[in-house]
Amino acid sequence: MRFLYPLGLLGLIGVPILILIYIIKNKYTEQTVASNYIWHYSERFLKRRKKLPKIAGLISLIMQLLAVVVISLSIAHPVITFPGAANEYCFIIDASGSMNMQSDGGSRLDAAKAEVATLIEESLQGGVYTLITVDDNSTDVLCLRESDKKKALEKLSGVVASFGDTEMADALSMAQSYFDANSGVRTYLVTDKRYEQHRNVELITVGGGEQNFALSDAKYTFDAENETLQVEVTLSAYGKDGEVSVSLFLGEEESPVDSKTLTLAADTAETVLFSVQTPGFGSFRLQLAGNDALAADNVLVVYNRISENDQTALIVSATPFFLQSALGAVGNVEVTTVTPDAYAKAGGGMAGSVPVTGYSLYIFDSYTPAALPADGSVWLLNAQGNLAEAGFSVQGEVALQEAVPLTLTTSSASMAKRLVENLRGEAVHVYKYMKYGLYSNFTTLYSYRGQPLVFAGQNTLGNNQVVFAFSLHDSNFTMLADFIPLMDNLISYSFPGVLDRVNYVSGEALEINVPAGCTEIKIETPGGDVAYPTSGLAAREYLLREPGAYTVSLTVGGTLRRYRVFCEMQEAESAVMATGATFSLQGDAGEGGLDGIYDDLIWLMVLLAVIFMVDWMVYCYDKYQLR
Amino acid sequence: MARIVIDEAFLQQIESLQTLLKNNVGGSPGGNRKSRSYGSSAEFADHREYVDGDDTTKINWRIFARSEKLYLKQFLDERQMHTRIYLDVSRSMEHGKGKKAEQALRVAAALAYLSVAEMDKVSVYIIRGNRTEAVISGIVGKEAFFQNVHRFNEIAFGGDCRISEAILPEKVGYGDGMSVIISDFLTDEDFAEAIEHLAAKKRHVLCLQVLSAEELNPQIRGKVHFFDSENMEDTYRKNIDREIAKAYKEALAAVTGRVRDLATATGGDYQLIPAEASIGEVLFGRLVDTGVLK
Repeated sequence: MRFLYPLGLLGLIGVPILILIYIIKNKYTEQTVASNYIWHYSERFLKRRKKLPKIAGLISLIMQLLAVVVISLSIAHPVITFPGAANEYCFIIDASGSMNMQSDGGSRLDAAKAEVATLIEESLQGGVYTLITVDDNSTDVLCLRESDKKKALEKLSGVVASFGDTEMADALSMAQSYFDANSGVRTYLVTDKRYEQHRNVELITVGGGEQNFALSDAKYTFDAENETLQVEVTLSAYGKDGEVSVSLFLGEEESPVDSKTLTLAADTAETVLFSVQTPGFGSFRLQLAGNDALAADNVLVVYNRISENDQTALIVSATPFFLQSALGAVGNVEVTTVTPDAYAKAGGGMAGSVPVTGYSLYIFDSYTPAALPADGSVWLLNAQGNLAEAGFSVQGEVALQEAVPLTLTTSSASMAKRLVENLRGEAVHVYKYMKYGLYSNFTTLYSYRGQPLVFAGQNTLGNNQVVFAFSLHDSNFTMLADFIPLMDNLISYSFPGVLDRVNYVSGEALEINVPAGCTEIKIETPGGDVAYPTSGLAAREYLLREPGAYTVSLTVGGTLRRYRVFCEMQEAESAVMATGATFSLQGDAGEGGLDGIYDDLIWLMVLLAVIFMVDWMVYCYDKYQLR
Repeated sequence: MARIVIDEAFLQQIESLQTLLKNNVGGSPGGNRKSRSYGSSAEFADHREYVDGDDTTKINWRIFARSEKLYLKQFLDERQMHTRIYLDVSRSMEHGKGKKAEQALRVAAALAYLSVAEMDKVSVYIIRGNRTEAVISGIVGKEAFFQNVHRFNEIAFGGDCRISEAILPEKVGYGDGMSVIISDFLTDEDFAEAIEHLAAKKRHVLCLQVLSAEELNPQIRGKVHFFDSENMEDTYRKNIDREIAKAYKEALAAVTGRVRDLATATGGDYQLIPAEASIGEVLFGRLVDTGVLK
């Protein structure tokens, strides 16, 4: 036995002090009385008593000594050690999506945590505990060889299941390393999957036998001409046979546009088809009716990505016909047109009656604004004046005797290739152009005698910028077939997609292409959590763990842009009874026990002391009426 | 030294009381008491048949004329009583604040006064060890009492007291009054022989047991080591708890009962006198209640 705080034993000094005080204080009171006769005579009337009275006078002392000893030992905290009686424990807890399934009033993870907690609590003090949680994204060591049961249990209580798959490779590797270091380590794998081979590992299986339906793999086609939306989704049944209804909702509508009821055998899947008439849609939702073991795989939302990425453009031009036509041909661009005068009256970039901010693309045709807008891409056509942010200087107008052909770039640079993709290489002629001196890095698309006449790149504000050194009216470009593909390429370049995809699977990373001028990114999860990834980099990743609809909000140039994405569960996690691969540790298990510690001794002592004192007090009160 | 606190006014107050003698006792001629024996006073008492040798002058001839039988007239004999008061002056009577001793002296003085007020003869003895000493011997009348009452103040308490050994050898009189023993009677049967001896001498025995409050109702608890005031080698060492206290009560009842039983069994009287009680309460309460005084 040892003491955690040996200084507490100093309190035992009180024992001899008490005894001394007792000896000094406990003298018989001497007194002369008239006669001892009656006192002696009273002996005849005393009932025969046991020897107990002889120590009755010591009761007070005994209780005081007991109190001093117990208090001293309480402070000193005695600990008894049993060599080799405790163990090292390694718990590998499956935290994959399927552990969210409800089973017997709680989730499978709850049951797993309860099993581990029981093992920890019932283990002999002195053991050490390693807790590892596993899903497909990470293998986390929550505590490593933790000797404090309470801390280990606290860590355990904080475990939450992800919605991803189970990737045991890292956990197995870790467990093997612990086993190699101490062959006496007791390794427990707590999971809902069935492992047939688990040598040197004790398998604790939770769940099984529940009923679960799952939606997955939603696809759609939309025929704009016939205004027909066709949706296809896979409906799976796990665990038990059953009947289930699946409904299709458009957008945020509360009422379904179509529903189908199917009866499925256990562990089978069917494809469900919907065909509905609609002129368009931003999103649709597929939803199962009723409750099953796992709610997370009962809803699927599919967003129309193009619709979600609608962009707005402002054309500042006195003759906007060609530009409006080109943007209209590309589609999905909401165009606003103002004259240069109106734009100038509005401040040319300052707030006014005409909205001059909040556009994804600003096109200045034969007009030079006071300053470039900061919240969107810019096209400058036939700019006459210098702009500090534009990255080039105006050197003057060049008028030609006759129209001259421009040279299409043949650069193999990826940006150049991307911007001239699908162009036939038709000859573009101009008879008047502006000569610009470039001092920023631009990619030239068309040139005349080395003079860049159509070029693209980022201006000093960080926004994509396309420059035409001539007016479309001074060229034949709009008459050429290459005009529309070029416009398409330039629009794609000017409207960089913030999100590459809008539908994900749990465990995937949401990649955000951060536009220039973005000051804040806000991501709201289905569970209501809000994250603010740093917006300083061009692209940001956010790991999607929770199934459901996410809202991504970007603040660009003071304007809020919102995007919606949906994350569905991993299909494999919907299975009620999954089988895992082998989880075995190589080597032979040994003893390797640690020193067991029993430190609850003090409570036992206190309990005994209390029982002892209560017993004596009751006895003494009854028999002696002690004062 | 004890002080007598009975003043003259108190003595006048109790003058109206008389000692009540319950026995048919003899005594010297004179006095203010009627003997139950037949004597030569003028007060007729009874008749009895004549036997040879009787005084023929006391034959009632009227009865002889009616019944032809000889009967003698008998007359009550008035004799002077002799009250003998024995006072225990051992150390146990004086221990503490001396209240037992004071009470004993007050009671003795009061009884002596009442006796002389009845024209009886009074003797007061102290018992010291195994001897009696006369403090007041055979006085009659108040004048004599007041001349001798100061002697009560001179009584010194100390030593032990063996009542029987002291009384038995002494002259105690025969059938001529009351013998009063004032003591705490805290002894083993030492007094029994004396009481029986006095009763055999046709004395009316009055036992007055004087006990202090700490003897009647001891409050002490816990560890005590008592030393007997009369014999310091006699010790009592105990942890006094509820059970011992209860046993003490029973022992006290036994001790007082034993004295009372002995006194009443021999035709006498007994009274317990708390040392702290006032003399008024003792005389007008306790002694009147028991019939000793009226």
